Amino acid sequence: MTDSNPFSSEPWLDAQRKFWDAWMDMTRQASTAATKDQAVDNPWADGLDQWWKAVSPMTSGTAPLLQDFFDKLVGMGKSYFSMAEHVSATPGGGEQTAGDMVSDWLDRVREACNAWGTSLSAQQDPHMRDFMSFWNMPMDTWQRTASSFSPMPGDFLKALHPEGADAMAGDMRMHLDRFLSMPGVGYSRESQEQYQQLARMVLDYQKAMQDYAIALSKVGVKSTDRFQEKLNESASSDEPVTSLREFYNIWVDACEEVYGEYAMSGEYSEMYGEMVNALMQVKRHSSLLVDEMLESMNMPTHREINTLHQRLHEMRRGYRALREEIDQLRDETERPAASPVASKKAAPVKKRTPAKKRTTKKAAAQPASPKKRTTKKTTARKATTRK
Amino acid sequence: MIPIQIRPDQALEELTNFSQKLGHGLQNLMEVGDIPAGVTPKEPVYHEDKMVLYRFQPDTKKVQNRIPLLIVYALVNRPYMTDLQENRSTVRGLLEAGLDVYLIDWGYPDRADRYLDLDDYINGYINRCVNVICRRHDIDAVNILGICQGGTFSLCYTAMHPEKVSNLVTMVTPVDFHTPDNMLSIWARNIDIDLLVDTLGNIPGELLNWTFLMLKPYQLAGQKYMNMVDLLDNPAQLKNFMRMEKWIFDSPDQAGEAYRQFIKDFYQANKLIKGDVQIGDKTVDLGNIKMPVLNVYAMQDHLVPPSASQALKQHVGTDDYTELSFPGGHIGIYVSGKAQKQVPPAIGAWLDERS
Repeated sequence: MTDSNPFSSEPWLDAQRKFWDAWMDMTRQASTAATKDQAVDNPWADGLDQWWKAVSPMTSGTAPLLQDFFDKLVGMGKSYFSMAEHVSATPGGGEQTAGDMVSDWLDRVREACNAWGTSLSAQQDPHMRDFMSFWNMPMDTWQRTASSFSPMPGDFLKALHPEGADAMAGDMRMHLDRFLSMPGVGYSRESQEQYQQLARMVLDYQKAMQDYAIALSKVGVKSTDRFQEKLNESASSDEPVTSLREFYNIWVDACEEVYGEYAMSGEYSEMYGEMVNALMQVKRHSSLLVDEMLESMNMPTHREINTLHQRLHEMRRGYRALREEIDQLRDETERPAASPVASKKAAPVKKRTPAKKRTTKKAAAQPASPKKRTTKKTTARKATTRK
Repeated sequence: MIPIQIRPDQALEELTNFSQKLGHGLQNLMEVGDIPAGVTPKEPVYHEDKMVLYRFQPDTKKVQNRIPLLIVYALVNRPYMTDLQENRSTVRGLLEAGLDVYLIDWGYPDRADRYLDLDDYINGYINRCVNVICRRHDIDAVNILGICQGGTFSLCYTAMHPEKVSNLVTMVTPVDFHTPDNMLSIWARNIDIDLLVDTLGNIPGELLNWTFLMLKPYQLAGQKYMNMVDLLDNPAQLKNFMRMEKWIFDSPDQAGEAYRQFIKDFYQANKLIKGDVQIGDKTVDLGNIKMPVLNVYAMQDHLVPPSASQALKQHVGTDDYTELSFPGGHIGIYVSGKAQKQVPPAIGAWLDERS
């Protein structure tokens, strides 16, 4: 049957099957042990990437939500494929049992997590690249979020790697701090000091983000132990893992459990707070600098617009209060002198038994008795607007 | 026993199937078209700034409870979650239960709304919406259904204006913000909220999205999409998923001053249960809530833990307090099939008994 789907993945699937068959033959024979360097990095994940690059231009007319959604699907697919490749056949050749393969894979995850924790871009092991995007998710999401309200792109600190993040630790950071703390001199000293302050704030933010990444990498390492425990539980309960998806789901459960425990800790809360606060310092100081620039060009500044918004808001509040007072006075003056109070009790309704619930009757207190208004008004008036 | 027993040919088949679904899914995704949400007919009856008060078309075949129900939704996310699609609509369920349903849509605040605070929202917008409904129906008080943060707002409103509320229903509503299982509260404690609001003005919806995703990052940003691949060949299920996806990421920015007060007073200082919340010139005393209260919460709620909601019982002044627990999550309580069958009819019956 011909596949009429223009996004069909059949051609690369065929290629992957051939690769897989050849690869399986090679590992079975184990005649010549392939080294890590000789092996193709992530053939299925790379294949998926190639397919997506080929077909994604055809989706350019679709809503951003759909494109973003499919990007996420493909991203997760790559991570999944990468994991599957490693678990099903770890490079290294020889007669490996499934347990060996998993152990080997977990070792490499641990290594990648440790490497990731010591730098912000952790791409050292190309075999783990696609899979580690799974562990990168929180930082990646944060960087994209931060870029939406930051003057710098979310991943701007990656440009400093490795001279940036790694070198920041220890003496280098101290020297930079001292350099940036030098007093300004001359006519432009204030401006110089402001930019020095911004640079210090950027460094603080970088450090906070790195601390957060390191903490997450430790969680990653711990997750591998939890995962191993879960696998052992499966073995001891005679319920082996029989599919890649099941394997993946256990991995996600392990990660989520360990992360959930850590995220409830005071340490995480402090680290998270420091990262957000540090970014806000950068953003706030940048806004001040931008405002000064705008002011020098005789243009309205952010500060001025804020002041206008605040004053306008206060005026509107005052206006509303007056309006309500006038309405109240009008109600009182228009009220007939001896108008009988209309009965406003709700019409009886058919009683129904509620679903499962628990009712607590407290002592003496009475429900509040609503105060009756004395003006009679018609029902279901048309839409009203108050600006 | 060997814990992993995945045969290579089986693994290959799994990967192949996954890829095929992805390929076919892209085509279905291209054909998914518009993703409408908010399905029940409604009319705007009052609007002010960006806020709109809607009245849903009542189900005239039902015996009507003559006290209308005002739904107060959270500022976070959009209220169409309560009326997501034909077979997942809390609003529809409430109409079928014989209720006359109004809903406040807060809209999307922009920078000009930065100085809106909780006084504006609660003693301002909500109060004026209640006045409009009372005038339309010639009544003195309405029934209120407050959802999530809107539930907290409803508690504050009811405590400050008890004469205007006949019965109060709260749904997945945080009351005690310092229960030990409240992850959001733990995270909020070390954020410098003044710095955040002074810097950003309004709080971007993206920041809230990030926060909610980080509650369960590997499930919500990863596994969910893996599971979705299995549904890609089903256009109806795909559309349902995309509708939910649209809602999840449809996060309005938060008016800065309201956010500042909400996080500082509620999440950080837990003032609601201490009776220390000051809104405008009024103090919020939950003991003033003496009308009947129905407190609905979800047993597996990861955003508002059940314990945070259950605390209400100890702090309200009513002698008619009812709890309704639902076995589901924060979102499932509006959209799951089971919730549709249980929750709106239970609310309708509870209100009927007290009207």
